[in-house]
Amino acid sequence: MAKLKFENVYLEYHDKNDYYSALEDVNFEIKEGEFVSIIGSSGCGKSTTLSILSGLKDPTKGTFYIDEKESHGTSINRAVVFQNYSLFPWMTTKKNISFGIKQVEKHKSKKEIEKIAKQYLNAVGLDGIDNKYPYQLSGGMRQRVAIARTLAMEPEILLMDEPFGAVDAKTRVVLQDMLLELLERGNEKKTIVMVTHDIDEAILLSDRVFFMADKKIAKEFQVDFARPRNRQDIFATSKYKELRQEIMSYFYKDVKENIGNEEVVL
Amino acid sequence: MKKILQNFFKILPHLLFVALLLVIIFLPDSKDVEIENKIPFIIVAIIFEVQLLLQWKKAAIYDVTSIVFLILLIWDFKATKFATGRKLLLPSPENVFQIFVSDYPKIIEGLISSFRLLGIGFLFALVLGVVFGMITGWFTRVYDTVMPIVKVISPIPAIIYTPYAIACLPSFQIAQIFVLAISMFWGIFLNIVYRVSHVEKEIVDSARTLNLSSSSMFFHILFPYSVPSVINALSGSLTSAFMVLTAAEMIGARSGLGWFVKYYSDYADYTRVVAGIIIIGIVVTVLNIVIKFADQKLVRWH
Ligand SMILES: Nc1ncnc2c1ncn2[C@@H]1O[C@H](COP(=O)(O)OP(=O)(O)OP(=O)(O)O)[C@@H](O)[C@H]1O
Ligand SMILES: [Mg+2]
Repeated sequence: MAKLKFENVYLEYHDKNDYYSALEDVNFEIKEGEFVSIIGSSGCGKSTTLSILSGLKDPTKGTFYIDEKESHGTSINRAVVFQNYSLFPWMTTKKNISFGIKQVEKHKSKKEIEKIAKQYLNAVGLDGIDNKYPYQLSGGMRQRVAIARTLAMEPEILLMDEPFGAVDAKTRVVLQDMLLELLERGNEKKTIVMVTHDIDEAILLSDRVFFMADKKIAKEFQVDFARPRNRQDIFATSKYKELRQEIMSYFYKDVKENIGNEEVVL
Repeated sequence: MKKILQNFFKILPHLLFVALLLVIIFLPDSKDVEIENKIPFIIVAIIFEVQLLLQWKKAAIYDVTSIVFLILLIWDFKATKFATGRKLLLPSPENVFQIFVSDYPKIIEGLISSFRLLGIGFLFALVLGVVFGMITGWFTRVYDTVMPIVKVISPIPAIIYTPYAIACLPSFQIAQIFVLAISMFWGIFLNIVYRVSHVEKEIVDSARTLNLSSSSMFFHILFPYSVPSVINALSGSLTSAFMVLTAAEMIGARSGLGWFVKYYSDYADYTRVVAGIIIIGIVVTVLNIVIKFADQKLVRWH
């Protein structure tokens, strides 16, 4: 049974008297507990795909299913980490996380909620910043808080749009490892879709990689490394090098074609 | 050389303070003026000296305080020490500050009266401005309908409505509240509309993915998000509303600070007139300090 399914999905952005077609005939199925990464050049429709998955947008044409049922609008079993920091600036770190939990666990007491919030702050390696406001945190810290907020809601479906896009290479590695570890820790497996520009990140974390080009999913890659995964072990294998090479070749092909059409470039 | 000059300006206010005290206490008054009590004026001088000592780190304070002492000194010379004839138009500072002591029940009464109107008008403006501002800023349909009308009405100065409001509404006080509310309403309303209609897409999107109810969206997201713009609006409109109020009190009221000033000008009692003007200045300053304080306390996240 597919957890998430796109069937002939089209999406058009409408401005006053102009429109732009961002997705054309997108089809895929994602199984429960699967981790899928979406890569592709800038402007190819990754964030748009994610905004349909999160329920922020409905397809212009075609159908989006969750658990085989047609889905419209947002729901509380999905949580999103956005491309840009999306913490509420007027709430402290602890309040930000608690506010997310409160939307899911309406019956829980304030004390219980704060305890969970603290646990997740600890899990992303941020102790002692409970009462700091987002503007007092560095970019990497904010992104960690955003991740803690979504994980603390214990969503069935986790959607991430370049979650580590705005942090330096070293922090990125730390956050990736943290995410890998957190995913192993959870008792039931989450279904995860992540947009990224980083091929290594996609291979390291996911079960499948979707390559988007030309407003649709141009190619799918299976990544069957056993879990729990370890960065050094995986990066050393020849299987990894071949896979990386193959994905790269698609990138180059895409770039060349687009230059031919004088369109977007990576 | 520059250093000497700097040090001179640091010492100057203290010298002027001492000079002022000596002049007030020891220089004989002109025989044309009657001074009842010098102590209130001396206390005022001491207050300025103390605030200087408390804020000794800020460089600008020294010069400001020097100028204040200089003005008080000149005022005392012109109106008390070397006054010639009956100086009706320039009351002596000793007498003006004595009014704070002798007339304090009347002044308190005037303050309460003015502030009651201001407070009620402010509450109306705040509640209506916030509620309608958020609705107009949030719903595009409402925005497109309401804003063309608002653009015509909002620039009309509220004080213009005063005579008409007095004629239409049952009492002068209700008319005053109405005018005050309008004068503060537009600032709050327009600031909130602007802020809400320009709310960052990331904030709205992350709120929406939390599947918030619309009441939650307003109370927990849009309202706290708008608080800085309310305070921003108030920093201008609260003091100008107070001006509107005092001006209007001069026309038709029987109480309030504006009335106080007008009443005694009619009797040419300029000592009380100047005292009233000084009190109005103090009130405006205090209002501004309160707003600044609110900004620091409520908008710690900015
Ligand atoms: N609100 C909008 N209105 C009009 N066009 C839009 C809007 N949002 C996105 N687009 C267009 O849709 C296309 C896909 O955008 P999308 O944000 O999905 O790209 P992306 O793959 O996420 O790119 P990036 O890697 O740069 O984040 C782009 O060409 C973009 O110009
Ligand atoms: Mg994007």
